[in-house]
Amino acid sequence: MLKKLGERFVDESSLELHNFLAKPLAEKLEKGLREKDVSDKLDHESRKGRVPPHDAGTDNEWTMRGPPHKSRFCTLNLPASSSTSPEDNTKAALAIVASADSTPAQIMQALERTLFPSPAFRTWLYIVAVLIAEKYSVKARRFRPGLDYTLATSDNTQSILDVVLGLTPAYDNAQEEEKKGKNKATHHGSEEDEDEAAGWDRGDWGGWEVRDILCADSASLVKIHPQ
Amino acid sequence: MAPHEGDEDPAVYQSGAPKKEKDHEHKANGTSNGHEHANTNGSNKNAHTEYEDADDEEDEEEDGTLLTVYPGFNRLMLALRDEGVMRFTKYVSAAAPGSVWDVSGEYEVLMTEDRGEDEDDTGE
Repeated sequence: MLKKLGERFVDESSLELHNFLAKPLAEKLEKGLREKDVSDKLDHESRKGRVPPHDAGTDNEWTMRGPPHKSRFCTLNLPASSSTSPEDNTKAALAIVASADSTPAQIMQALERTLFPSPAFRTWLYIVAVLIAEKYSVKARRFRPGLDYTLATSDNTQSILDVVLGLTPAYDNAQEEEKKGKNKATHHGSEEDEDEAAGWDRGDWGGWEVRDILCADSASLVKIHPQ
Repeated sequence: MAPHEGDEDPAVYQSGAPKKEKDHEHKANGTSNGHEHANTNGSNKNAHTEYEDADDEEDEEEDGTLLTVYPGFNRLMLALRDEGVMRFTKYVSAAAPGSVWDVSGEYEVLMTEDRGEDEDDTGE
């Protein structure tokens, strides 16, 4: 199975694996992330399509970073653990992952600082991608609705293996349908009524990630779209 | 910097056709295996081939979008990004139901002989 993945990756230079995290952890994390959006008033109910204030979602766990001419999104701001040995680091991460009290930020930090950098993970990358991963940089990221983005950059002079674990909770269609049912009397026609399956992959909400080639001979041409 | 409304891109530095047309292409193109899309300008199916043809004058579109990945939960995406390949995350619209979350790692890599490529020297 892993060999097939490797072959596929060599052919296409990309691969997407579903259900990467084990189910109990994934469910805990998904629930926590939804709740975090609600408590930060970034969910749909709180905003109803309005752009939130710039500091929404920033607190002792998440901090906003820029500069805005390159990007704006939030990264983790949790204190680094005091343990320095890889074994202690791993134990601490396993404890966080197992605990029912861990916040999504704590879990994502365990992924960012323990799983992704681990030799075991890099060995797995070697098996799957047939590439030896050396220097690395890992960030847990939050892109808030109406606020966050990154701009196109291609400052890498080396080949880079991007490994991105998407953790955006699925759009809850059932909940929306229920609300529509309740509001039927006052609900005016909208796009959502005709839409059977609203979701991130419709592209209407942005947030997707693109890889794109800059043509060598047009490197000096830039096109800036008016705002 | 004021937040952006709607689907208008903030400044995107790239050559070629306006971004709006490509947005529609992203939606139109799809593969049968779910959320992984490779926009191949219609003719080429092989991402590697398209990459080498980037300078081909015959290509109508100069953008050569290799891969578009939509937000999803618990999906690990691996992609090899060569020199000169751009990467960005599209602005998340205020209409979105919540935040887009991920853990994003970038690893400098050495090609191995198994891949039949020349070895890159990453150095420090």
